Amino acid sequence: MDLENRKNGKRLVFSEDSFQRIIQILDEFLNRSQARLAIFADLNGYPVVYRGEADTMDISSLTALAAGDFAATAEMANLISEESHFRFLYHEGVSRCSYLCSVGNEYFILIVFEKKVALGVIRVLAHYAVEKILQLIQTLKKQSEETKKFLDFEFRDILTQRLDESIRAR
Amino acid sequence: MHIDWLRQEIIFKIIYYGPGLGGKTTNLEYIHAHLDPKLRSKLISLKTRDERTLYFDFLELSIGRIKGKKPRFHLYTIPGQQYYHMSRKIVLRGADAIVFVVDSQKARRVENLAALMDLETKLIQQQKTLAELPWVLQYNKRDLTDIESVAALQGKLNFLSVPHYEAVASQGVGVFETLRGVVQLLVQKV
Repeated sequence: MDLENRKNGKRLVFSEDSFQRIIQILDEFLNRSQARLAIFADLNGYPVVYRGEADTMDISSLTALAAGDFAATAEMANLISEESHFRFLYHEGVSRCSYLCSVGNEYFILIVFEKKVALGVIRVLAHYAVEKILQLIQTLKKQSEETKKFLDFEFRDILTQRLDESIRAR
Repeated sequence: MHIDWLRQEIIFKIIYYGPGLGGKTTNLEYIHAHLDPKLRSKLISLKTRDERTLYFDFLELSIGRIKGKKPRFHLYTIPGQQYYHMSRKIVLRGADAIVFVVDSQKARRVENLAALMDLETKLIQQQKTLAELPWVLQYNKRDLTDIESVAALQGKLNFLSVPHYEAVASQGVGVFETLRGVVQLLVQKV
């Protein structure tokens, strides 16, 4: 995000159509790669779209840690005189692996897959998915999110009331 | 803040900031231990071998649907030690609100001020200021003996007259009051 947009609170706004298109791209990726999970997320740690075995995994924590992973290794990249952050991060486990690839400067895809799936397959298919999402992102406009549409006064009142109830019930 | 129009979710990022060993992680640990497990995630802690926060702690709170919409709160702590300043800068990115946890002990006077200046510097680097961001102060460790008075802490640290809370995070005193305060301020300001 460039500084002017950040200052004005502007960010990419995904329409329902664009959400559906990303869902389609991730589903296609999962079908062809046999990976278990794919999360399209922003580098602030927010998941945008996730597909696959999402019910069995803690998506929010995974995304927050993956964003942190990018951030930490960006400093490593800096120290070895690489101008930007690393574009791909790969973690190999005993049975499962994760592959992170950046999508432009603000987003990334986190992929979880079985070790028996060849990394090369994941890399090639992830590359196609990234290209497709980048094309889509270029058509979207940056605008101030209309939070007031989402959070009216009644919503705000109920929210604080609900938080109070949760705290009292502890 | 992130709005997911498809799932009708809104996610807020709240950062617990402050000097090392001030009680930021203790706040999150208390919230995690005393809130209904249905309302919160697992507490993720990235710690060094000697139990100091290395990168961040992360806890998600979710209080169900309201008018069909689901608010979520992502609570992060930052590592307070001076040499982890890059980690702080990164975790602070996209913050919607801040709880600044002060160590009330007289001996930590300089560290408190340095951490607050560090926060302001990092916000300015992100084109933000403390004057425009919702934030609260938590004066922690009020149970210890050699502590500064609240009036003295207010004079030194609360130059923007933000809400402040006295706390003993290790016993849970003031922890939920602080959380409630910052959430209230946040939803008023967005």
